Amino acid sequence: MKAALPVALERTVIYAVVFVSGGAGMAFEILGSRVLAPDFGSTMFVWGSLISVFLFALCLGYSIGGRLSEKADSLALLGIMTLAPAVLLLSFPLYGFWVSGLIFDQDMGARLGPLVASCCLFFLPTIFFGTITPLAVSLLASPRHGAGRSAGDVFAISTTGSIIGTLGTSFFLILWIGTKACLVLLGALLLALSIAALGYHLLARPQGQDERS
Amino acid sequence: MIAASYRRNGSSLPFLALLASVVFWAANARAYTTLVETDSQYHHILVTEDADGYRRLSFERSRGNQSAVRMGHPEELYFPYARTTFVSFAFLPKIPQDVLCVGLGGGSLPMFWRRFFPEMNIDIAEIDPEVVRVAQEFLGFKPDNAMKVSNADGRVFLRRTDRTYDLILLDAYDSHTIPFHLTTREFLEIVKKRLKPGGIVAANIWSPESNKFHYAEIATYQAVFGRVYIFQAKGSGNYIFVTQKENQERSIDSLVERAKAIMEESKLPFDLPPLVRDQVVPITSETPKAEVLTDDYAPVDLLRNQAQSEKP
Repeated sequence: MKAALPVALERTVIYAVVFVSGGAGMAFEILGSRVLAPDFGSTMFVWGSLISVFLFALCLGYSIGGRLSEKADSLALLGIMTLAPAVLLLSFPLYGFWVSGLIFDQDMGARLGPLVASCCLFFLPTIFFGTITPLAVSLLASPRHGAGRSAGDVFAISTTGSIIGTLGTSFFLILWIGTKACLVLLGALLLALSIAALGYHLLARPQGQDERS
Repeated sequence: MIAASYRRNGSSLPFLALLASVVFWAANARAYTTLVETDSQYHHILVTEDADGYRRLSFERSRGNQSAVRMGHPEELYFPYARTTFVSFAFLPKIPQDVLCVGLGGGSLPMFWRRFFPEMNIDIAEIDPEVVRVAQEFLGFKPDNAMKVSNADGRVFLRRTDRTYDLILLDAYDSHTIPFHLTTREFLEIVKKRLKPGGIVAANIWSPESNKFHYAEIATYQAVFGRVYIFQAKGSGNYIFVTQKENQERSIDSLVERAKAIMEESKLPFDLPPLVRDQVVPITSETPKAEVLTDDYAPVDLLRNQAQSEKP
């Protein structure tokens, strides 16, 4: 009975991380097209590069996250996996456009140029987004709620976040505040969530462990 | 009930109206034949031919035409805006020698240039290779040694090329589909760098009606080039913006004089001086102010469908 509140709060934090990272991932992809267009135009190759690089990064992230969840099953790890893309997105305006321009100058051709630029700019942050899904599934699974139930919840919440991230960014955010401000806003949201996860781990978790012992 | 009451009144008006519209639709449908309909990387390309032999290129069934030509008659420019682009020639001391066209469409303007100005070197940047193929196969577009098409995004072409131009024609926007990276201050700065001394830009921009984008582009061109001269192609929703590498003040009288000289030099099949004199739209203090578009902030899709409020 005493542990009920921290457990509910922990679930809320995990769901919030899953929701926001799902949204930020897709928002980042939409923003990617605005980042690349000044250098590589709005060709089919730009969209093809973006989507495949995001999927490849997610693929790697899922795999890494699944393996990590067997080693360390804690909210701290989830917090770190949220903190990393937060830092990368917050600082993106400092390096993103410069890196894109640098790759444009190498003149690698209409296909390879945007593909290499997408790899350099979007691959790493998106890997972290990918790790969050299996970590969250593992954290939420319990004898009462099995892996299937928690996986279903995580995918549903993550995809809801993705829908809102996609529509919100393309329909409103880019039009209201511009590309750089969007990137910083996403970074700030992720940072807030990572602080919540890490904070919960530091403050609430030892208490929870005491109660369990 | 409604149908019954009509019958009682003996009114056959709705039926006649329906019949008339069906007949009209059928007549219209018969008047056009589809020559090609194909999905390319970027568009749904459609070329139709009407009973008078005019072929029209469109990129979406429901939208306007990109280009219209009569086969074997490159000297005809069907669209008023295509003729209005020639007002830009009046800003140059002589007929432009090196010209870049961003966006091919059906290629009617480049073919017209080739017909009347055989000495002109013409570069064309077109993003969609299928548009080039269709223009060649169905619309009489014929590139040659001095008229070359590059399959490239306009901005990428301008950054990659080391050539400079007397005239750069920007005609890459659909009435609704506007690639944001071809609208911004950064883009226009790239364009300006590719102009020869005395060179000019002519841009085809859609009318300001329910279109804040029009005013945002005035602001953006002003930020990069200074003075902007605007000409409204009468009988269409197209406006031609003309800007110069060197920000010279030009009087309409001097432009009209130059247009008259062009008529004597080149035998254009339409009268250029009235297009300059009667179509100019002066920018005044009444012209609504708008924000300059940048690579970071260019909400073109939003602006395109926004009405400008009366007061700036």
